[in-house]
Amino acid sequence: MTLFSLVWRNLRQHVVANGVTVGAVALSAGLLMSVWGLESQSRKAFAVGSPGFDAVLGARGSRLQLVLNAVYHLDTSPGNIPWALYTALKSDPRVEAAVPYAVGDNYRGFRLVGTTGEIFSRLVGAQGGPLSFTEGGPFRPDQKEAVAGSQAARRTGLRKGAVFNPYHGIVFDESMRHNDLFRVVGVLAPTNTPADRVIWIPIDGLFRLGGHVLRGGGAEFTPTDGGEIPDEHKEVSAVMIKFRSPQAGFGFDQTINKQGRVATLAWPIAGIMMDFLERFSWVTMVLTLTAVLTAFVAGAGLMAALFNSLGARRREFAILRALGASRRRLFGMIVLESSVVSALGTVVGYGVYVLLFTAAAKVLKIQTGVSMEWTFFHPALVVVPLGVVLLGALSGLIPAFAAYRTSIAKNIVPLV
Amino acid sequence: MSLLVLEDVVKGFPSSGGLREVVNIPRFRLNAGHRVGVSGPSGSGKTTFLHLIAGILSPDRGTVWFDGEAFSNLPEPERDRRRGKKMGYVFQTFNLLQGLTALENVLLAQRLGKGVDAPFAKALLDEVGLSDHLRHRPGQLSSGQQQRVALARALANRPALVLADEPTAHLDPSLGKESTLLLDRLCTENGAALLLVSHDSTILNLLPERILLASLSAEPVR
Repeated sequence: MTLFSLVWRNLRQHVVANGVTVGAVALSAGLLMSVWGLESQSRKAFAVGSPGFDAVLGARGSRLQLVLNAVYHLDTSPGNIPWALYTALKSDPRVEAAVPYAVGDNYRGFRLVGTTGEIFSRLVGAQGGPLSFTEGGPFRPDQKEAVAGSQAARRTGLRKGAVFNPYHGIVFDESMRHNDLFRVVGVLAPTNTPADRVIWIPIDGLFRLGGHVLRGGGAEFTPTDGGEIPDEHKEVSAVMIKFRSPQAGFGFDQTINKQGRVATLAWPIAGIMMDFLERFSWVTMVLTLTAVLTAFVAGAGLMAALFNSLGARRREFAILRALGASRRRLFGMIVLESSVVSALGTVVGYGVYVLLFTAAAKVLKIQTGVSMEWTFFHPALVVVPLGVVLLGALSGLIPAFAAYRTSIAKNIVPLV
Repeated sequence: MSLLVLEDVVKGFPSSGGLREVVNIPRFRLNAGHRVGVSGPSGSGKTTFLHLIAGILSPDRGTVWFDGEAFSNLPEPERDRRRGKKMGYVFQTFNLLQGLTALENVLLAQRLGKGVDAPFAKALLDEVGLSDHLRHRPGQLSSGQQQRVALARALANRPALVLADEPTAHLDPSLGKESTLLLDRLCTENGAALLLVSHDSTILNLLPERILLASLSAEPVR
């Protein structure tokens, strides 16, 4: 018979009231861990940006829109830029790599990105590893072939050898089907980046999709089957750029953004995403405040429950005192009781955290392709449970003091 | 040798007419192993007398000596510790913890006293005829059985002194008599002194020695 087992018996005697308190503590602990964990991991995930590239060049407009469109394959394209800009970058000695993107079509909601084969050697996974294929290999630039990202392949059922018709626009609409047929020649292994949600096709193939009109040189140009497309008519949605040095980024930023009027350079990609996330930091604050308030409400509930039970337990305390328990021991017993309730709450809170995190991560993965894992360590996973147990212990202090002051003589009096 | 000595012990409580003196004992002595019944009418201060001896209350004046030391002068935590280890207490209403089984109630007293000795706890419950009820909670036991658990608990730490406060008040006469004889026997077997207060002379007559609380007082208790 230990003091802990006595405490445990008491808790079991009031299982419903304590269960409700454990639930409230679990919700607040789980919510806090989820909010902070998701915030931290999403910052890390979005800070990665587009591994392998430093900047995006696109039409004059919002840098954020450029990044969202070209890197995260969200939002609409701010417009197109002439092919000449791409070729100029490609030949610039300060540029290590320049890869063109042309967008505007989808297959069952998954974006088609027209590009060059270089993308497969430039894109890397979230952990920095090179791209690899689970099936097949890269497309040929002059063929109507496609490479599916892992998520796009899984959710559309596209496998190597499958043939599909693209749909016009970035939102899936069955009436917008192109007659052109593309054959899947490769499926990429998961990268845990937005690239998983993309179907890659040769940029030339995208130019030639039926109904596409090119305006790269200002005048309209409709490609014909087998006919050459002059460079002056070509246009791209964005160019993904890898600089040879950070100084080159500064230089291009000056010439394109501050002095130029034709295009916008989104550089550095991670910095722009961080600025974007910073705009939503208030959401994190609101959620954190909600969770903290819930924790305080749970603590107050715990204190009230303990306090309410004191009246009925004074006799028990008096008996314990008469048997030799010191006032300090009774004090410790009540604090232990409130600590155990909050500790149980944090244990259940880990379950709440896993559920909330997994659900949020799944939605994020589907929406952006960014992958997050609940197993990823974050200091909140230690700090929050410790804080909640401490709060629970503090909630027990006032009831514990009342127990401390219990008079044996007054409370041991005969009751029938 | 005296196990317990009260010297000029006075205790009063505030009342509407000022401080009401409840206990005023110039001298009282109890030797080790002696079993004494203390009688007195209701309100005569019997419970206060036991509380002073147990260190639950501190005297306003005077000293309670127990086991060779000025027990009433010790700090409260020390009195608690010594009470747990060296004294057993039997209450009028048994005062068992309802959430614990019979055995656990006895083990708890040991835990708060000299330390858990499960074989001895079981032997005591066997001695009081409850070996088949070790896992029963107080609510599952009759009044007589509950009182016997309380007796076993009082002896759980092999105390030098057992204090019993009207231990038969809630038992029928035959059960009260049986319970008192059992307590007397347990104290004898375990070498414990017994101080049993009761207003019932038939109960007190079962013990070897008897005193009237009023006879200890310097002044008649009002």
